[in-house]
Amino acid sequence: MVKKKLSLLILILISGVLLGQEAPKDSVMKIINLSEVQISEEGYENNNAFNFYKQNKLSTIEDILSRIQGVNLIKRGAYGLEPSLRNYSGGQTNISIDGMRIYGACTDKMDPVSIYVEPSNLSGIQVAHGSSGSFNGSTVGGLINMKIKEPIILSSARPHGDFSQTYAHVNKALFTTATLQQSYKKLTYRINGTYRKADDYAAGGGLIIPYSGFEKYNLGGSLLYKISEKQKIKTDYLGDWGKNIGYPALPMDVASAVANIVSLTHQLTFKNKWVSSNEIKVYYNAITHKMDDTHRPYVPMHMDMPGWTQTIGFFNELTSNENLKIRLDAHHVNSRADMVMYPKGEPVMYLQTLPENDLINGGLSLQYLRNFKYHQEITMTARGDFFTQMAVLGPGSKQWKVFNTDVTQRLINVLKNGNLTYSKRFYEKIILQVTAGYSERIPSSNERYGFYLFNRQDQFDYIGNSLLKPEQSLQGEVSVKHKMQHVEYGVTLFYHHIRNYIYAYKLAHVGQMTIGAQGSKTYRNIDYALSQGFETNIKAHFLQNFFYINNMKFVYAQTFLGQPLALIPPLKLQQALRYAYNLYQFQVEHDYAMAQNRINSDFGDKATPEYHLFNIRVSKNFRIKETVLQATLACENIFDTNYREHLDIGQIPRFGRNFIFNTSFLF
Amino acid sequence: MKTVKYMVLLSIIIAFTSSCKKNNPVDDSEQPEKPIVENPNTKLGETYILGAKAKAIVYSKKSLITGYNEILVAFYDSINGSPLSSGKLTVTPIMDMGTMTHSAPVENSDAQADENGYFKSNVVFTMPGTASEWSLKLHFINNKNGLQGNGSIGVSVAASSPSKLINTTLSADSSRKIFISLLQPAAPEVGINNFEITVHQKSTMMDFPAVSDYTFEIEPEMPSMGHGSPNNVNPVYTGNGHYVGKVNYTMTGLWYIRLKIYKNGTLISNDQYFEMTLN
Repeated sequence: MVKKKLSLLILILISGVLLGQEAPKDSVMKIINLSEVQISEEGYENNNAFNFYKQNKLSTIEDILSRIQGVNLIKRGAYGLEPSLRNYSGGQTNISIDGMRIYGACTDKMDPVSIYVEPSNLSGIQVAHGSSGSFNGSTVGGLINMKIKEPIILSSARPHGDFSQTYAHVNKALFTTATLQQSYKKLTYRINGTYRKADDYAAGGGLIIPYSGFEKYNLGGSLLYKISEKQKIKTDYLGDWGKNIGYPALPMDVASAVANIVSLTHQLTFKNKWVSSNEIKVYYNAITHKMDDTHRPYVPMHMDMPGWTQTIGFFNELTSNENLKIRLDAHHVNSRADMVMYPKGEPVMYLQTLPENDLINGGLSLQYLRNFKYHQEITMTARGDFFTQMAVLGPGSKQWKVFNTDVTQRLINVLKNGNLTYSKRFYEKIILQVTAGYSERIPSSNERYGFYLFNRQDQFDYIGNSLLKPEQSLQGEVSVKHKMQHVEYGVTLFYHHIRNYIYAYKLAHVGQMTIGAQGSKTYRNIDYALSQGFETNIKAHFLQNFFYINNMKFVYAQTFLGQPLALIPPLKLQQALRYAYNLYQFQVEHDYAMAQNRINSDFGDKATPEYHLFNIRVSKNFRIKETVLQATLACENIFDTNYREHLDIGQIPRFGRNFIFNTSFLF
Repeated sequence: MKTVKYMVLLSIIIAFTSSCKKNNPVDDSEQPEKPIVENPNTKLGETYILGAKAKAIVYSKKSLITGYNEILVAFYDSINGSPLSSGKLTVTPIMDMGTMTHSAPVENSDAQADENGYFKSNVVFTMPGTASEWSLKLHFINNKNGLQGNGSIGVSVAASSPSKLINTTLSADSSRKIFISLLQPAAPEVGINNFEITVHQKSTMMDFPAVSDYTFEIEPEMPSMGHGSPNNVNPVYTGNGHYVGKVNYTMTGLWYIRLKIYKNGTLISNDQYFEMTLN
């Protein structure tokens, strides 16, 4: 079982199944146990852990992600944190929902895909680092795939669901979420709605951070029809509407962000000798993102920055009985971002910061797993990708003529990815795993076609480079896990060598466009960059009712000249102790981040001091017949520490002391 | 004897046609006197070139404005109305200010009529004026008959907006009075554009020769944002007072093209600019 999970994809867990049993269903608590929610092939239907997680009304996907090993978050506001895997972010990683490719429409990366999934809609997060995540698409950094809950066919037609409200005092935030699920003989549906509204938050010490409030609605719907014992068809809808989302770290806010994500899935299981299952998904999503500065005082001139992406795609995943998995997929994305400025008494100024362009991708992946005697196992993954991208003839491509560049010229890339993992189990308790991988990624649209994209971090305007070559990464990873009756621990070491690393350079003779910018930069491929580091985790269960979790992550990354890469998190430690007694739970958490003084000042990286953070959570469940009422009280950042993470853009401090109240009703 | 006969005949015809013109205005459409090619330009007026046995119809590419204007003239035999394609046209713009008269920069050539039947001349109008103030004096040598003569039409000139003419006195260059006219971009677009100016100086009231001893640096700028654009090509002298380069616009909106003027490597002016709006 464990073997199989490991072999499927490298799933990084911070804790195991220790709370799978009769633990009270708390809400604020489960953040820390979240990585129990790994996706395994055995599925998310036998889901103690998922049930456990389902009632998590308080945390956002971001809270969850931040607890996963090797994941850090780039913060620009109270909302819309961009996940990064070790030192990789943006175009270096693949972030998807149910395997669907979704592209953010914001050139400032204010809309990472992770914001579209509410925790109550999430069945699990699949995280795979480096080339081991390339089964779903070429990537050097890895994969974060969020699995949406699927409606389950139950024996009774009684509706199930939950209703939960959370209040956080630090930003007067009220989150309300409700789920309804009902099952008939062959048909089942699930509807989930969430409303979040928050004011500006107070940082440690009481300072209010202006423009950090937000409001958003999220609606998820899923309808599943069981055609036969072997065949299921499912349609999913996910809609997300954000309004007036403040981004204190940026000179603008989001006026509106709308996502509509639809898919149709067909699942087939076979009872024959060779093939065990096949899944086909067809999907479409459209993201519209509108930034403006109407809420900001002292703007030199009013400005709008809308962006759009539309993606259509499909994938077909075939699983054989012989431990072979084949995936064929393709997608097409059209994207564009505008900048419209309204100077007083003068004509409107218009440009496309991302010229309208089309990207088409098709790929084929194979994964093969083989067991050998003496508990040995080899997993091989290979993927080939074909990409073609070109800008559409129009205002955006005309602009580019000022750089004597024809962006309508078709760019073609063929990418190769391969990953080989060997694992061996010793004494039934120790698992050693060695991975070697090679992966590539194409430059992102911004890196290719961005036209004076302002970067808040270094205060430069970025101009794309359509001649960039793909990044190529050679990766090695070793991990050891030791499982004992009450204690389990693991260590992972990794070393990545990235050739043709895409790196920003100043353009000496090109001035800036944005008012206040320092100049212009573009991207170039440098010889190589190196990234290395480790992750550790410990979990323990002792004295019957005590549970302890500890995980640590560290990345050290630099260019071939020894220049540190930007936005590299420092050493970070997260630990928690939980005590469960009857229907009560008490949990104490401690987060520690070392200072980060290895910075890339060219990129505007600033040194970040260390911090300690303490949280406490208490919950109590009340059972009333078939239903459960659950109340949770938490205090995060007990000592009101003024702190920030190194990856926070603009050096804006995070939440100060925060009291959180949650009540949930489950039926 | 033969020539006398011809002259008598000619004078009769002239008398006849001019009286005809006065007494019986003829519908334009019936006249054979139309250019060989259908004309998309603005008609400014017509005049007889007395002495050359020719009639001139004067057009301009666009309605006349202060700055650089392309004038097109079609000549017809005033007897039989057939187009004249061989000859030499010299245009002299005249501004009559009542107490004084002056000319303006002009580009005349020895070129014959083009394939469409036009003789060309380019005029830089240095100030706006009415048709009683500005006139174009046309001198034409008719190669068909070897005769030559003059005609004149009044033209009205509007101020260009935004201005396509810089009219300045350079104190750093012995108070030289110069006129810089913007030819291109005529319809600026986002992206790369040709940039062309002409430079003339005022030598006397009637003499405005081309200037060739300056070098220019250009710098586009969006005044409300303070930024410029990359990869502009400074205009270089191509002859006859023309300087040609490239100018780039990264977005729509209001732009200035700032000019730095150098003479023998010394900056003599840096405060002149053309303004343009991109939609």
